[in-house]
This record gives sequence, structure tokens and C-alpha cells, in this order.
Amino acid sequence: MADLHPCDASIRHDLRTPLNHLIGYTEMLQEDLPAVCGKVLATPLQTLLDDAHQMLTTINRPTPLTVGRFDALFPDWRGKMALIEADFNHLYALIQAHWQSACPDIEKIHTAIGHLRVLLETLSAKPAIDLGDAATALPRDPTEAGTPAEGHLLVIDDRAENLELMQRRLMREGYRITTCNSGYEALARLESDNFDGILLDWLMPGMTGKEVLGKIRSKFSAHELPVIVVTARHGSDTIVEALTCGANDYLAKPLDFPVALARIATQVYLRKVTQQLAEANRQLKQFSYIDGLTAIANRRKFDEYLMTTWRRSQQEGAPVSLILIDVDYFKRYNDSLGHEAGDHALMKVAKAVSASLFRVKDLAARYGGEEFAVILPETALSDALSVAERVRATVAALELPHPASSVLPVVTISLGVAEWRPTAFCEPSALINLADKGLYQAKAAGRNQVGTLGST
Amino acid sequence: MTQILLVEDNELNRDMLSRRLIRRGYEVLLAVDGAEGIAMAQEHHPDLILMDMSLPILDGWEATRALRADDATKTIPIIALTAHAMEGERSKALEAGCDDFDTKPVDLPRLLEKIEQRLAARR
Repeated sequence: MADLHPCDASIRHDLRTPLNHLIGYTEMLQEDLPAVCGKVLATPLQTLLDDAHQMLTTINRPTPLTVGRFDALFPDWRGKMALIEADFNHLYALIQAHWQSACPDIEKIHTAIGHLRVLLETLSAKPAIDLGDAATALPRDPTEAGTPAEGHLLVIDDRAENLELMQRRLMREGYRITTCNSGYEALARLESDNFDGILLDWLMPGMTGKEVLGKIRSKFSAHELPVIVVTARHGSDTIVEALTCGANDYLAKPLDFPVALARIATQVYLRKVTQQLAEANRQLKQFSYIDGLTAIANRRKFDEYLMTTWRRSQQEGAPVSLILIDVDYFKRYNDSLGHEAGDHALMKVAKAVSASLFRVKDLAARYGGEEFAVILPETALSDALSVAERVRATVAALELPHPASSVLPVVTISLGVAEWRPTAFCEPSALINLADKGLYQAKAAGRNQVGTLGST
Repeated sequence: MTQILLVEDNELNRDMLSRRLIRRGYEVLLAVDGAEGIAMAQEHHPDLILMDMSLPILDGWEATRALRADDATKTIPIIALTAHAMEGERSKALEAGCDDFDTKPVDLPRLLEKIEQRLAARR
């Protein structure tokens, strides 16, 4: 492939990663396919594989992915993705019916497909978004020039003739305009209406442009609501002052309208792109909170959720409980049965932990290699202990054979439980340390049990 | 039995590739980052190394250079694996000391052929 722009290479790499998983696991299922299931499963497996390869071919096309809209360059991705998902659903049902033991691998395929979809959704229908570290300035989408201006602008000026002039000219361009002749009126308007940008006269009697800007910026950042200051004073002092107070740009009076329109359009466009980036980030974040192997929350999500729960508890006074879970003799399990078996065991344990929680606000997460954690907001120690015992029993009941454990011939877990009522000056690490001590106690007392040092 | 060391930080990639190689009769050792890759190569002297190029701690390039600089490990064939397909990747891999190069998604028959080629050359 010819030399790619770093953004392009990064995007293709990110798309190839889940495709690699999808193709690899599907080929593996084909290799493992028991003869007895052959008739039913051979074709669906091949169909999924063929459609995944189709997607790969499209991604490998030399068209640069960073110029202009992703959707325009890759218009068939939705159809291809829908095919893959349909193939998968069909295959999933058949595997559940005929080949139960392939379920862990089909789950991995499911995760990979989900990952791929999130990536494609994020990239599509927007000016190109850079997902990699090679962040270079994105070219302004050339198709934007010449399209009618769109947006709702607020124009603030104390002189009626200025307002009238600007309103007429901007409406002719296609903008929706609201005018105000004082800062007070403008601030009142901002309470009830949404705007894509503001034109603000700097020199006004009563509430000055600077005061108005200060009040606007206390509620809306420059990204959320661009403000262009309009001033008859051309001295650099005024310009510096306006920009330092949070204006996005300035225009000199009398207005040179072509310049004014271009600057307004730029600010409106930047705001739109920033919002789209924020949305893309939100979606990506959602994906990046999930542990790849077990499909439960990952450590990053755990840390964030614990902090959120902690802060809320600090305000409301309810206790937070934490359960730390460690699989007993896991290293020995890996050594005797292999990494593959170890991974499967972790998946099953994770599922069991998850299944033992019945409230939406409780979170099960993969805390480390063979460690899990459960956050129980607004929960006291006694309830947390019940939950912990339920988790312990569920895992033991899985009866996963463990030939190298000194506790039982099956996989067991040790759990540490702690409760904390956070006050203003303590941090979640206090709770984690206490739960850890409980875990240590459980191990020392023989494993396959719940340990706790009590609450504070 | 032929021993292959797979150095790969992504769990799913590791799982997938190791299982498919084991099924084909190879013994597979696993390392999750560049530093562990070097340590395992020094300890076990595998017959071949599959090295993912983007690894944490020490990346695939550095790890390869380190293995080539050590008398004990410099003769072990190394095949670079990468999901990047930029023009420069291949020559970069060869310059760092890799014997061969393959892209992800893995085309297993192609990769197996390369593995066998390298092993045959060694014997």
C-alpha cells in the first residue's frame, strides 16, 4: 500500500484489529467443527467468513479515509456490517443449539463485531475524525464551502441601525437571527433559546461587552458557544482584552461583510465539529470500559465508577461497600491446564460474579489478571457480606475442575469485603485497602471463603 | 516438538493464534510484552519467534534488536507480525533484524508456510 497519512494508517489499523479477531475465531471454529455438526454449521461459518473478508477488502482499498466524509468514501459499510451481524445472529442460534462448547469463542466473535460497529459508527457521517495519536490539523471539508449557512445567531448591539444592518445581511446568508440591544436582554434570551454563535458589540453603555462576555463564559465555554466581538476600536489593547476574556474572534466596525461571514461560518463549523468529536469520544469511551476477555467492566471503568460512587456518598452520607475477589491458586491452574483453559475459567468466573448481582447500580469489574471487584453503592457491610457469600457459592457451584488446588478439586475464590462511610477528606484507596485486608484474611484462613475486618 | 515463542500483548490475538498453532502440532510459549519476550527467548531458546511489533514496555523493534545483539539468541528466526500495512513496515522489520514479516488479519496457511520455511532453513 502506498505511503499513508498517519491518520489513515491509524484508522485502518484500528479497524483491522477487531476484524482480525472476527476472522481468526471464525476460522478456528471451522477447524474445530465436529463432524456431527458439519452439515448444519459449515455453511453459516463460511458465509460469516466471506462477509468479514469482504469488509477487510473494503478497508484495504487505497482511497484515503481522512479527506472528506467517511460515509462518502466508504458508502457500503452499513450494508456490509448488517450482513455480518445477520450472519452472526444466525450462526449464534445454531451454535447454541448444536455445539454448546463453542459458546466461549462465539462470545469473542460477538465482542469483536460489537467493537467493529462502534468504530465504524464513530467514523461515519462526520468530517474525518482522528482516532490515533498522529493528530494533525484536519483539512476543512471542501464540500462545506458554498453550502448555505446554517445556524441561529444572537446579535447584541446597543444601536438599532447596527442591529438592523447585521440582521438583514446575515438572514440573507441563511442564518436565523435574534437581536438584543443590551446585555440584560441577551442574558435573558440565553436562558430560553439555543444559539450556534453570538456577535457581541464591545462598547455598550450600561452592561459593557466585557461584562456580558464574562457572564456568558461563566456558563458556556468557547467550544460550546462561540462569541465574536465586534468593535469600532481597532487598537490591539481592545482586541487582546476581548480575546483574553474568552472571545473566539473579533471583527472591526464598519463590518467588511465577506470577512465577517467567513469568520462566522468558521466559528459555527468549529463548534459543530467539536460537538461531533465529543460524541465520538463518548461512544469510544463506552467501548473502552469493557474488558476484552471477560466482557465485563474493565479496571478503568471500575476506577471511575468507584470515584463517582465515592463522591456521591460523600454528599449523601450513605456507606459504600467493596468486594475484592481473587481466584484461588490461579497460577497453578494455568501451569497445569494451560493459558487457554485459564482464560476460559476467568470468563466463567466473571460471568458468575456478574450473575450474582441483582441491582443495576452494582458493578462487577475485572480488577487485575485474576482479580475481580464488585462495587456496591449505598450498601452496608452486612448486606455486602451476603452478596459476597452468594458470589463465592455461585463460583464453587460451577464445579470447574482444578487439578492443582489445595482447597477443593474445583475452582474457588477468596473474597475480601469492606464498608466505608466516606467523609470529606478520605479517598477510595482507604476502602480498597480495607477490602484487601479482608481478602488476605480469607486466604490465610484457608481460601474459598469471605474475609472482612469490619467497617469504619 | 517444535517450540514457537509468541510475543503478543492483545489477549484475544494471543488466544487465537496460540490455539491454532497448538492444534497444528507446535508447542507454544507466550510472552505479553517485549521485555518478557526477550527473557523467555533467553531462557527457553525456542525454534522460532513470532513477534507482534506494537508491544508495551519494550516494542517489537527494540526486542528484536536486543535478541540479535545477544549471541545466545541471535540465530533464532523472528517473524514480525503487524496490523499496520504501511509501505515502510516491511523494510523497517527487516532492518531491525527480523527474518520475515506478515500482516494481520493472519492468513494462517500463509503464516504456516513462512514458519516452515524459516524452520527448514535453520535445520
